[in-house]
Amino acid sequence: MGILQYLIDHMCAKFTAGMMMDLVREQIAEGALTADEITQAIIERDRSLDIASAQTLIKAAVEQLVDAGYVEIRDDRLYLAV
Amino acid sequence: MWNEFTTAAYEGMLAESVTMQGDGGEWINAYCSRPLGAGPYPGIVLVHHLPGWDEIYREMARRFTQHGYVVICPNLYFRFGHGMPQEVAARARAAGGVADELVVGDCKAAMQYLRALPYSNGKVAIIGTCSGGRHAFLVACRTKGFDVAVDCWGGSVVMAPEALTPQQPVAPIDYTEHLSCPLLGVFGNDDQSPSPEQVNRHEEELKKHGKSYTFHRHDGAGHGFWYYDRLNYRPQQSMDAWQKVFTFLNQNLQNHNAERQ
Repeated sequence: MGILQYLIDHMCAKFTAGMMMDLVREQIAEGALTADEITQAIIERDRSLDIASAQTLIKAAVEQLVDAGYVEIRDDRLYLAV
Repeated sequence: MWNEFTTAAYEGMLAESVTMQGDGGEWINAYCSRPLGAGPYPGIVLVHHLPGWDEIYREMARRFTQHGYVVICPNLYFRFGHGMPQEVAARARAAGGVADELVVGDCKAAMQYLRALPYSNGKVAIIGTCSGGRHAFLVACRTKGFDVAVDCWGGSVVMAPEALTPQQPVAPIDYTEHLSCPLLGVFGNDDQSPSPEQVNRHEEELKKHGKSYTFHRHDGAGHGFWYYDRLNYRPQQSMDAWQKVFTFLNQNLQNHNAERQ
């Protein structure tokens, strides 16, 4: 789980790495979004996070999802890989 | 620890929010719980975690009290204003977190608060989880007067120079030689902050300075494995760790406690 798990533990965020990645995938399942547009969904799951922390977690989750081939980034928008 | 009471024994506690003078004499609020009785009782300064001065800390305070401890849990985020704990925590994070210097001042004041209580047995521990574990260790290095310290998975005890901030200007590990009391460490081997390597490094530093410490590393457990409101809760490891914490506290603090053993 690498950097994402480190960040979750470091922030004591109320997620597991798997939950975090599932949440990103759920958010873009209905259509492409930017990472910033997902921020609110993350904060709603853990209201102790500030915006910068949530964005840092999203970035790490997206990187992991891209590496795993589940997500693609085009023009700063996140798409589920087909 | 668990169920080690007799069914005929009287038991009661008072738990309430109080105000206390924190760092620099500033009034802050705190959660305080104590057994009902004349005592004398040992005290615990309970240091809340990064997600705030929240409900699980109130429950932890009462759990310690149920086992014969007077507990005070200062609101380290008091200066970030009021609101629901998670909202206040978000404001604290956005501001870069609470300054180590303030934490040291607030916790030292909390120790003095406990010692001044008429039912204190004079012994005081400092305990925290997550950032509170880091703070417990830091405070035990930066102040004198605590009888024991318990660091439960405190991250950022070991810090790279680039991780230092105005709020956290010195890595707590660099204060190890000044640790003023025995230390108990509780860690999960799947935790990445602190990672097992960081825990090892911390242990090496404690050894180097000849400090009294015991570290327990739990397999199959990650960060925050006591938090039963989260998926990373691990009941078996959690109960084992609680037992170890209570054993450590009882051995070091309870010798004057005639009412509950």
